[in-house]
Amino acid sequence: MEFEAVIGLEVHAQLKTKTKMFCSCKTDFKDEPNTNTCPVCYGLPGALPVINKRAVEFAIKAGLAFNCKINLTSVFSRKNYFYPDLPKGYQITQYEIPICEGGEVKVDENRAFRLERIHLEEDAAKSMHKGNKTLIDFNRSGIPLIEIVSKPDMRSGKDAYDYLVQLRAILRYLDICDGNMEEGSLRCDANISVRPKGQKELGTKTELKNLNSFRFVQKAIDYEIKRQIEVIKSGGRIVQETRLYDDRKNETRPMRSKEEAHDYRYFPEPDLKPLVITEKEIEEIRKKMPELPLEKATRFVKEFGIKREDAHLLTLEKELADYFEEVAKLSGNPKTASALIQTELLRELNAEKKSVNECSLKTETLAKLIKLIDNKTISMKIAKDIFPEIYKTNKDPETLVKEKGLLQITDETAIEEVCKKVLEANPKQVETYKNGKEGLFGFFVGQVMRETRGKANPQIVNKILKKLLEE
Amino acid sequence: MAIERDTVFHIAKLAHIEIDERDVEKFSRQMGEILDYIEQLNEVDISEVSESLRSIHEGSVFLREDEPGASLERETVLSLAPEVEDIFVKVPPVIKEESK
Ligand SMILES: [Zn+2]
Repeated sequence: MEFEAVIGLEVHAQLKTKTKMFCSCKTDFKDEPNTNTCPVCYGLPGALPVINKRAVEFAIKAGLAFNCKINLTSVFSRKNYFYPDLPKGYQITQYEIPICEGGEVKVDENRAFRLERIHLEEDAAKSMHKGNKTLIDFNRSGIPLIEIVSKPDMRSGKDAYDYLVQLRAILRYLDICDGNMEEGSLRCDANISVRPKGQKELGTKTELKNLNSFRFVQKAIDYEIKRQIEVIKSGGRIVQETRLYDDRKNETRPMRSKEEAHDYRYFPEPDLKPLVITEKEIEEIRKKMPELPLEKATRFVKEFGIKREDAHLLTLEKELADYFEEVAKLSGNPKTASALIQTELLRELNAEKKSVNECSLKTETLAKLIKLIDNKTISMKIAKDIFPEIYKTNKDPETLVKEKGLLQITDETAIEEVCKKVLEANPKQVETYKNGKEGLFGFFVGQVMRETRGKANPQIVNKILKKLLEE
Repeated sequence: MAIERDTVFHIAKLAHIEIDERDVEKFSRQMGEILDYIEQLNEVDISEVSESLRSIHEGSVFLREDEPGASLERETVLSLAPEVEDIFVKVPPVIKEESK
């Protein structure tokens, strides 16, 4: 029997506001533990929540970016449960009427995953589990979150990965969330079930938690799908439960938490009237929407003639996209700009775990390097050789090339001399070549390049060698 | 009308309260009485009173600017907690460690 997996993701994104969702405590995660709390955070008697305007704006921005329907009136509710990270005994969230409904995350031109809803809520405190005790820092409790709930449209770990990459890129373009999974500003839970292909009803689902990178999400989901199929094939049944992913073992196992009843007894938050937004406010926000990653990628393809896959990769981070765009314009050669940025620049940045913002190589300098290749002053190979040094020092490429004596040799007489020398030094190979072993051509080119320490213009070398060998 | 035994236990569990088997009958009767008491509200004829349909959930909420204000001192916060370790609030373990 063939099986099909059904996957839905719940993503919690911490909003980049200065203050919490319902009080003016600060949200800086670098602050000392337990210093950003107040009576509202703890739900002390008499304390009243007041909604953060910017958090609402951010949720609307997300709604617009994902093409959701924005509800002009939405309602906050209390979700009641006891847990040490929730000092009030309830979380203020949106239940029946969320701020955004529907919508989709487009992952490329013709692939999208639908959304169920996006709602506003407050974060819980941070718990550190240490053997026989749990320590709590309440700074995080009350930080604004949007929960982005997908429809169960995904079918594989790869689908989930693509969805998350695009979702994160968009949140970062909107500048409403850091999207940092390691620091927990973006968190993802996955609901997974399997069913025989063609069957309509859904199978019993499990929920995966503790997924702290996109790659782990992908691997954990693929593992869980396999596990569920094996359980069913061997005559077992799936138990509805929460499972944790262990990245070291690449497996999931049941989370053994204290037994608790799930009965949230939602009711409308009595301390908050409905959240009412006007069309005008939405239009104001719409006017300020930035160009989003996929739109930018499409524009790059059209404007710069680069490949779609390249445009995709270059636009996932806005800063990188801006960097590329500047180099492309300054150098007048977008293709080489794209190639050098994706291979050389990203390699150097990744090695140092730096973002493009922290890059000391200026766009002007990289553009100059590209121009040196284009006007045949240096070869691509030399450009790549000196790249690490230019990256580190931001030194003027032309000066560096001169200092190192790396100017490309384009003088045909000079190159012809070297070619002749090479052929004379290797009479046996020349004979074998002339007898039909044309693969040896590369050998001759290599020898000439070695003689000239990579400086000879490859096109000219090819031309001259061909001519000499045919004589 | 008394509420069911199971409901009493369920509510106790949600509230993290331990209750004694011997008290269940009493609680079940008392909780039923509270509900009956509230039920009386349904007997009032409000058909002529339009204002009574107003709820606190009409109108719209006031929004706050995103400007930081004062928070409580950490000492104050920690003094409210039943147990503290260093600069954290300490609670019994939430997740049982997997035996490795
Ligand atoms: Zn607070």
